[in-house]
Amino acid sequence: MAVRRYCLSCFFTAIAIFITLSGEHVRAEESTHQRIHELLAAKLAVGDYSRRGADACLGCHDDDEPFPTAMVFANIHGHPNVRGTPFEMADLHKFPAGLQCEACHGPMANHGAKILADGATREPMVNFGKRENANADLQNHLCLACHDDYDRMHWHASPHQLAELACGDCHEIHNSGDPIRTRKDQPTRCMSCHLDVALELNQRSSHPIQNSHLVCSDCHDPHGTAMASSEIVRGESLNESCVQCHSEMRGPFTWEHPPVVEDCSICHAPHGSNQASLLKTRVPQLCQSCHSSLGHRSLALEGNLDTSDPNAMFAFAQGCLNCHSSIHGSDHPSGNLFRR
Amino acid sequence: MKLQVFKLVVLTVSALACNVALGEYTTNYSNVDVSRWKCFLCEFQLYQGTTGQISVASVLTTDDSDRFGRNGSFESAGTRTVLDGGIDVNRASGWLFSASATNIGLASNDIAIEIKNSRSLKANLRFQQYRRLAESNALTPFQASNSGLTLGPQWQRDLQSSGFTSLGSTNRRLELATTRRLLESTVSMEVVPRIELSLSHKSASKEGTRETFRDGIFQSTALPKTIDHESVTNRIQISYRDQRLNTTWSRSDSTFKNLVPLLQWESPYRFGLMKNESANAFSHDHSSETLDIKLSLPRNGVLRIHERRGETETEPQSLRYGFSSLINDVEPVHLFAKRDYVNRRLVVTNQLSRNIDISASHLQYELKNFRPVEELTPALGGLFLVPSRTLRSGDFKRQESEIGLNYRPLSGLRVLSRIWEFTFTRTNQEIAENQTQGGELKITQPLLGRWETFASVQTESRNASDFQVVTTNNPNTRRFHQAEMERRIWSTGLTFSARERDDFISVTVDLDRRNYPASELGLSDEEFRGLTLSYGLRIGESIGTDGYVASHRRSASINGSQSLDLSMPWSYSSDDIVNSAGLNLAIEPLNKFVDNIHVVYSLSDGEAKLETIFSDAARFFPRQISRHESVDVSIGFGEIFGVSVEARVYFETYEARDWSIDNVDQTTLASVLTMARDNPSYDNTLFSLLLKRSL
Repeated sequence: MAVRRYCLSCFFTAIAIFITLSGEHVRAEESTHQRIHELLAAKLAVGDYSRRGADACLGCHDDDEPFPTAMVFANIHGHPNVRGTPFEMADLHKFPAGLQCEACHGPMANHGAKILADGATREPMVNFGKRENANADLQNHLCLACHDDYDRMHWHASPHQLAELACGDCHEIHNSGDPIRTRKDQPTRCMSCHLDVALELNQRSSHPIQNSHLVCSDCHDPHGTAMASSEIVRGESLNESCVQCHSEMRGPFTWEHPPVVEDCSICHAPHGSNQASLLKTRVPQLCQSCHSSLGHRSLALEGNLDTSDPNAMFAFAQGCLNCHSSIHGSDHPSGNLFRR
Repeated sequence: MKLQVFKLVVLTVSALACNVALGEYTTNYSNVDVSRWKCFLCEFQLYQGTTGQISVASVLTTDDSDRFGRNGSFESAGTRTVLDGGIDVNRASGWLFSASATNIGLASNDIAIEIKNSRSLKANLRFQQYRRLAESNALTPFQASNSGLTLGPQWQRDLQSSGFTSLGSTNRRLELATTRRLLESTVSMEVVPRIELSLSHKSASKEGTRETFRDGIFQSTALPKTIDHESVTNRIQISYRDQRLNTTWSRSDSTFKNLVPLLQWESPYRFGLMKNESANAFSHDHSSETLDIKLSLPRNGVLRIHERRGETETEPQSLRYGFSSLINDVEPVHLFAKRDYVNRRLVVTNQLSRNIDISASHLQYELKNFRPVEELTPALGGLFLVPSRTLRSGDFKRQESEIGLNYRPLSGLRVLSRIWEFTFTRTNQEIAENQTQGGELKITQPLLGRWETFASVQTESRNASDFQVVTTNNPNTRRFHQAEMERRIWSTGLTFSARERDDFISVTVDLDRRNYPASELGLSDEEFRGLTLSYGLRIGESIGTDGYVASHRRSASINGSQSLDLSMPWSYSSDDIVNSAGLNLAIEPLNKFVDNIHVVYSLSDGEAKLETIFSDAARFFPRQISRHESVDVSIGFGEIFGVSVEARVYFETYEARDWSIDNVDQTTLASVLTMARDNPSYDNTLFSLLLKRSL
């Protein structure tokens, strides 16, 4: 079989080289990261919270910081009169009310020490985003303490969780509006990792994602879905997700085209294609991936494109769809060949 | 992997997840005393009151050539005024209100309103409209629209399209475009502690004109099809959540209404017994119901069960076969169709130690078709009755089982491995069952310095039950998505990234190859090759840039089937090659007059090559081309009297050539009357001056 020429032994040899190349330096750096992570986990378990709460934090972390903190007060997380938020002080019974900055960044313990020994660094707090200093699961543990609701129910074992993404890798809390939750900025944010999708959007046909008429979260749920596939498509199947917009294709039709019912992606590439109508290959070749031409000579044989050849009508214009235009299914009594 | 083995693993992992009731991380709140946490400084930080901005832009596009298919809302030359705005109201009482409007003045625009008070109440309303222009200069001889297309007395009928009245002289030009409108609203509220109720409504409509083709017998005509349909979905959801249980129940009802379900047209051909009228059916009204239950038990791991049931049915009106006098005697048929599905998924995840996660999941999706099995007697081309055909809609069932292991030792090595098995069974299909087994191994390893590399391999093998002939279907039909398949995906990459910075450089190589070893007919192999180089760089405090260069190649080869002449085996191969590049440059701030400069460059250069091998000789088709290149430069100036100014120049060039569409007019093909469409090719420059004022 042709695929076997890609030998597995080469792959594992390459892996062995990678591991050999990683020396003490790597292990030492990783060890430092892991040490900080363990320290932060231990701080959470001990629970040595500050005496003054946010007042102790904001005395130092003002707008002159490289990563200013004050913008948390411009969104719902920092609002004192919104129920169930860290800065709510009226009803302290509802978690995480009243825990202020330490609700997310963990207990202060000795982080706020006024005097540090020479050369000593300040005890770390849990940081997120670009300054993250703990493993993703610890960061996410703090976020999910509040946000593990029905929208995040599928997070565990989802592709992004398995890829060790932290919430702060995509979301910004110290901001008046979280950019990834806005239709204008979301595609850019997602495609900073999913570059392959960005490339497909400029191809001959694509969904209108560049103009933000459609955004990634219209079809995908980055927090995981009920589907087992790695594409994290919303809905219980890819087709159900597609027919949310293309409801004219939902059916059931009197005459059904089996691949249409099974999986739209058999014929279509959803992000973009070098062919028209998001088709994976051009018609008639796409159709002939399954269908023989016994019955009529629908062969795109002629390299010289002689349009006087009767076969030309199977290759030009819409190809097979010149006649079989109801290819997604037909409700006509004579629609058995999708011509009505 | 046998399903029994999978079940055993699930049970074991479930037992571990349920019995070890310890969280991986314990958060100890017992020592917290927040009674003295007054947050005096918060008062000075809190952003309360009203903020917002409004901007008005004058946009000039210079070029009047066709620019369809790009969803840009700037398809023709001229000047437009575009209004954008947004307002945020942050009340001390805890109520937050925000509203935004985008691209008001263009055919595609968006308005959104949101009001919330955390979990107490959240409500949002969004209206979106966008227009998609598919062709701006189509030609048709049909003089009316909606469900009745007439040719008029001037139309010259003929046996061949070349004998028709010339499309260019007397026939109308029309735009093929659709406009989609969407209105959605959601209200969520905590009705009692831990229980949340959510109600949502979504209505969408699509209107416009599209091209469709209909044939008589082997004579085809492009018709302007009026699109006018709407769908409405209502949903209710109730959720309960506490530390040990997270569950939600929801029900949604959806209806689809097609306001133009039938199309009648006059045949432009003169052909023997053919009458001038025929009938065509589009999608009919249907309704759909969905019931969804999710249950999640977060312990040391998570045990999650999800079940969704849905039902869709349609009952089209009684349909006539056609309008030919030859088949007028055939009674209209009354059709009823219904199908339902059940989607069940069980997921168990468990963190065995700090370094090892294990997860197992099982999904079962079953679609049942309750359409009555009956025989219909189709009328070929609306003219001749042919032998009856049995409706062949069938059921299918998909089962997917997967086990994953995530290993993270201290050395920085990351190992992600998965194995899976899919079983797909169908009724009334040529291939009754597929079984797929696969596995993936991905290793990420830090190297010296801040370099990191990853390599992954994924392999999948699918077998298929024996081919069986079903009803009167073409016995030579093969379905590649049901055929035996061997697939292997390789991916490797190397990345250098700077800690706590955006700087990185990365190279990734991908190979995805599928073989269909038993494919005597149809698709025999597919291959994807990708090479991507990307970077991100920050220079000082004010300059940031990122970009990429990539090449993607997708190839397929197909064993051509026998034709009427059984001695004519043939094959073809296709190659889609797309080279892409992108560059972003942002400078901000530049000086006290210029706030920011943004430059965005993008290139997508695609071609498709096609080759047919017939009688041992290769025959090449002309190459298809689609090349898009754009440069977008915007300069933001500092505020003067509270107003900031942004100037923008956007240049784009697009070139597309497709031999199968371009210049295929009524004289090209004897038996196809097209709309004489061409692919667009254009150069366009857009100038914009935007004034923005903060409120």
